[in-house]
Amino acid sequence: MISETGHFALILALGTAIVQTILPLWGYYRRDHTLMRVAMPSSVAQCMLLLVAFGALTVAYVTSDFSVENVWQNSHSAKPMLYKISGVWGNHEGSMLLWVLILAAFGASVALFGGNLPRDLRTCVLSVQGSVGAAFLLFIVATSNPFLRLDPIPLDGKGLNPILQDPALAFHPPFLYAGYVGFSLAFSFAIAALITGRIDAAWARWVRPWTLAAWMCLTLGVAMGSWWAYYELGWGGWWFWDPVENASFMPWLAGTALLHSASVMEKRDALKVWTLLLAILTFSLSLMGTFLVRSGVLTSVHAFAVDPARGIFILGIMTFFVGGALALFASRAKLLRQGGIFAPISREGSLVLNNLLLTTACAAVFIGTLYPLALEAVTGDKISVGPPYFDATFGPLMIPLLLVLPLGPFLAWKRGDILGALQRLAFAAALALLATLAAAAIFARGPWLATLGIGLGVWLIAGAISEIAFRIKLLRAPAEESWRRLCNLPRSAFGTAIAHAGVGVMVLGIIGTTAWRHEEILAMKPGEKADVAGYTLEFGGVAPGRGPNYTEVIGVFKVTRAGVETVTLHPSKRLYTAPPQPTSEAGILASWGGDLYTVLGDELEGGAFSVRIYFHPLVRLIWIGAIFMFLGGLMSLMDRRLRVGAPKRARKAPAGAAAAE
Amino acid sequence: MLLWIIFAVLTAVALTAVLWPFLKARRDVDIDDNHATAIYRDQLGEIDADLARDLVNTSEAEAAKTEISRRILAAAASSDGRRVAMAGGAPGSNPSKMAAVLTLLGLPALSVTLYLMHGSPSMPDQPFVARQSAPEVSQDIATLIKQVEERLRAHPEDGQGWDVIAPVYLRQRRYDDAADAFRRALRLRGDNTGRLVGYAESLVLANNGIVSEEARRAFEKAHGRDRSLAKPRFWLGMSREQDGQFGAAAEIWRGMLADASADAPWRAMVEQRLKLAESKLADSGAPPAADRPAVAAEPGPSREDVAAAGQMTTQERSAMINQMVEGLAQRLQKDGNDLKGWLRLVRAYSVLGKQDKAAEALKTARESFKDDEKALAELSALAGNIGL
Amino acid sequence: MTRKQRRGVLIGVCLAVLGVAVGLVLLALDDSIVFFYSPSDVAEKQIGPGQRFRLGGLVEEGTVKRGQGTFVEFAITDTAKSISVTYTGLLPDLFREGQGVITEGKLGSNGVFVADNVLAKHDENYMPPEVAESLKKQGVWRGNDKK
Repeated sequence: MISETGHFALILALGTAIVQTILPLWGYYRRDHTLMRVAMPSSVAQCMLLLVAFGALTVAYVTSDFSVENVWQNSHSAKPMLYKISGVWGNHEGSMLLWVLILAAFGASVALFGGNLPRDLRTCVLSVQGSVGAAFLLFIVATSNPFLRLDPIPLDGKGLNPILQDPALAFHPPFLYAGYVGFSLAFSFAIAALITGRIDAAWARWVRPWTLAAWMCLTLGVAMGSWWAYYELGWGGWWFWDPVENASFMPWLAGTALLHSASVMEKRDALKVWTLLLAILTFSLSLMGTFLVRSGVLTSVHAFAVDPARGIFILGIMTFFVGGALALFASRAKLLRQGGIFAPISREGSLVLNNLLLTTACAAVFIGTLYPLALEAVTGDKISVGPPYFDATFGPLMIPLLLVLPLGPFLAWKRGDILGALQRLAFAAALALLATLAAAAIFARGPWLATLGIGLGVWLIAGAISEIAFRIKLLRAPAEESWRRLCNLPRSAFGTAIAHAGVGVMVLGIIGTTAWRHEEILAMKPGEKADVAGYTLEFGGVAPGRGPNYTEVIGVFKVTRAGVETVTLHPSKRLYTAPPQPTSEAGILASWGGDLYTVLGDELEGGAFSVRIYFHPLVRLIWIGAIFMFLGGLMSLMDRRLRVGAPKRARKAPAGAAAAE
Repeated sequence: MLLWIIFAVLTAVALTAVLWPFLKARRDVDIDDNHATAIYRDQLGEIDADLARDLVNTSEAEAAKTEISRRILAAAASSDGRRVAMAGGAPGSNPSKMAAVLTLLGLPALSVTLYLMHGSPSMPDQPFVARQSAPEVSQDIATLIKQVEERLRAHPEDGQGWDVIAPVYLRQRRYDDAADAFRRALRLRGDNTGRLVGYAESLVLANNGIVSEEARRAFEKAHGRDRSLAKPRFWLGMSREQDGQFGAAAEIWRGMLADASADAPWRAMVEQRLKLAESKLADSGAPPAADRPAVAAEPGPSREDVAAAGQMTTQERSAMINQMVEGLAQRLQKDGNDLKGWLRLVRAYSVLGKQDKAAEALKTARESFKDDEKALAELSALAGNIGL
Repeated sequence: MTRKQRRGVLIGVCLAVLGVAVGLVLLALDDSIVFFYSPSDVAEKQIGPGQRFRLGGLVEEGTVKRGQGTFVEFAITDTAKSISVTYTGLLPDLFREGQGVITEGKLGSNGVFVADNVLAKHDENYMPPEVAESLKKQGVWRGNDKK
């Protein structure tokens, strides 16, 4: 009964989304305020109904109700509770349900907290948001219904792929989806702007918090995915330029560009066409990510042909929204007036360069991801475009971006003074030089490019700190004044600095682990020792182990450093019972200097085991950098200015506005 | 019923939410633009703050202020335009009422239609724990079974224990265990109809519904004891049907229905089986056989089967015969105590010209009856007849 | 600077960046794409030693031989042709005889494929798509086309 209630709520949500799409928009064109006001309560209702549906599916998973086909396919009664719950979105149908739930939640929050938006804009935003929801709900009901029942009921479920039974992966999809789907609001705002003609500086301010929230979630989602790949797949890498990863990375690049271009539009009423286009583009890339991952195209162009219904449906949705948006864009071109002018060397100029490099890099990733698919579809040749391609294209585009990044915040709007900016960055530059020299001295054998990379990372961090120091006149004014200025500094300024410093931290991590990684693949017998990066590992043999739904062979490695025993690592090979499948669990000794990473391989002849030992210097910094970016976004989101014109002011607006005249 | 009430409540809540603006009319027509001007005013304030912090110089600040003031003016102008434009519509006009009515009717209609396409409203939830056994006393039964099992491991000759646990196994669908438990109970405590029927039924269910020779004999025994029992008669019918003797099967079931009261719970099922058997019979073109005894003296291809075979093409006939022979061979592989079956199989192989297979079957049969001189004699006689 | 000049600078910078990007992409695509071949393809297209490619197929039954340390030797087959492969390193969890794998490396002059990477994806039912495709051509694989 619970799952049937969920099923009905899902369908009711579809109906509500259709109403939410049609009535308000019709009301807008008919200037009927009653119809327009339908948008707000219906988007809240749609969200609540989807919450009921999602809750029902979760209950079915938690109680292992195998009469629901989806549960039977993806769960098992012996699975630990955490993975029963995460199993809800560990499969196609459930993850699509989560997708629309988050979509509806973003819509509902605009309805509930969007009091600072003019009514016509809010109405249109919600209507467009409703149409995206309706399209995907139709997709779910028609091709991917998670509530279909089975009769007779199977005895037990088929189980969740054990590699997905992992805490990081349990929460990776929700964040990733929150990011993907959050950009739907940027899209809805862009379409609503085109409909209502509100394409101005205020629009950029209104769209900012929503874009920022989506960007933060996506940052965290991508980082979690990478962390999971690092410690669960046992290949020792943190980013593989895998098409699935790229599918989430492209919206991130475009979304980062959008955040920056929207700030130009907000301050200077410039780059309006570009910003709207970028908003549409970002969500299109999110849709494409969904399409690529969900259609099976990525495994092979031919896999798509196996079950065309889903793929073609999403392709249809994508074509409709992207094509429709671009057509609307073209038809409204006359509304887009030229904005403010600025010199090439100015804050605007630096942000244009940022956008240029980010979108070009995004395009390079796009080509690398889709070229093999296109080639296979056209000529039938099968190729793979691997990391070398991305290293050769993405890297060179990022380096100039990172080099000039600290300069941007020092340039004034309209016309900047590059010499003055450089002067103010002299301290940061000196620090970076020092770091480069130090790195070169420590790692005398190079590679020299990596030592420069360390310098780059320090340059970014020091540059971000210099910006704050400059703004509060640190050391140039009495301490009390600096303190007062620090307190008065808008939170978004901190946000920018923290996020930019986060980029620097991440660069350090990436350079460190790429350039100075140690890798040893050995055949070790119990009692043998291996030396890796200053650690000595003694293999103490293997022991059998058993978990709730697997059995395992655990390797025992005593790790000593400089003669002192630090810790014992336990990499293991697991064999899950349902479905029967082996996985490797890495044994990791994490420290600030780097991770010692061990993987147990197969047993060889003579009692030896193949063992892979890595040392990844500074690898932690990659994810810490991502957390910095997230926190920077959060800081910026708390800025007072994003709530200007918020509900309490809006309600008594007529009087307030009159008084202010 | 409860489910439909829940659906109705959900629909009502959704409709109330969606149509809320129609229920609660608001008079203020707030399409103004002070949202935008508020932002621009704030931006003006920011410039003052920046100026106070020496982030911009006075001339830059002035330029920026002019730019923002221009935006305020533009916003005010467009706001006036919007207010005029939006004031045209009247709330609660006819088309908007029409939309409300359409939603009121359309939303529930669409939802129920879509739901009925894929939903299973009559299907209850089946949580794993509740399905383990009877819901109320699930834990108790599980512990009970464990206790009995432990006791039986210590005292395997405790007939009463086997008697208790056998029907529990059967209900829990552990058919192999059930058959084993019934067999032990039969051996230790002698046969009664209950044990016989339980044993035979477990065998059949363990065997995916195929009535083996062993099961058939147990059913026959039970049937001989108590002719009023429904289960043995039904399964005896099934065994005929599985042998391809649809006429005989139909005959048994017809008898069953004639004897049974009108409200017997199994009536519908038997009627359905009967209809199936009759239709198969009709397909083969022969009249329902009334002249055969209910329980055939010697199982073999029935007259109907033979008649049916006569009307087939050669190819179809050999396919049917092969199929029947294969079925028999499989049955004998599982249950090798059926002498008549073995004799029939050996003969059939020989008729089909598969001498090697006939010899093989003969060998297996001799092995399974190596202690039975009479049977061996019969087998030898047959072997002599067909020249093996 | 006039408005026109400013726009000129902007467009100039855009074109320069795009030009560099296109150059990089073309160069990288030329350099770093790797073709996938099955053992039959290798024979058919007469691929010489030294060219880097991906070789995929089933690990032939009974051919896996472990050597010194983590050295391993096996044959990859698409049931029509088969090629010997050598590899030093840790094999993936799902590496088994009869399992579909992809290896990346070069052919040696003796016709033995020297792999520096062996992939077998983490899914019970998963057959690397290229392998499935080439096995389908040989009529061997009737796989899980269920979804």
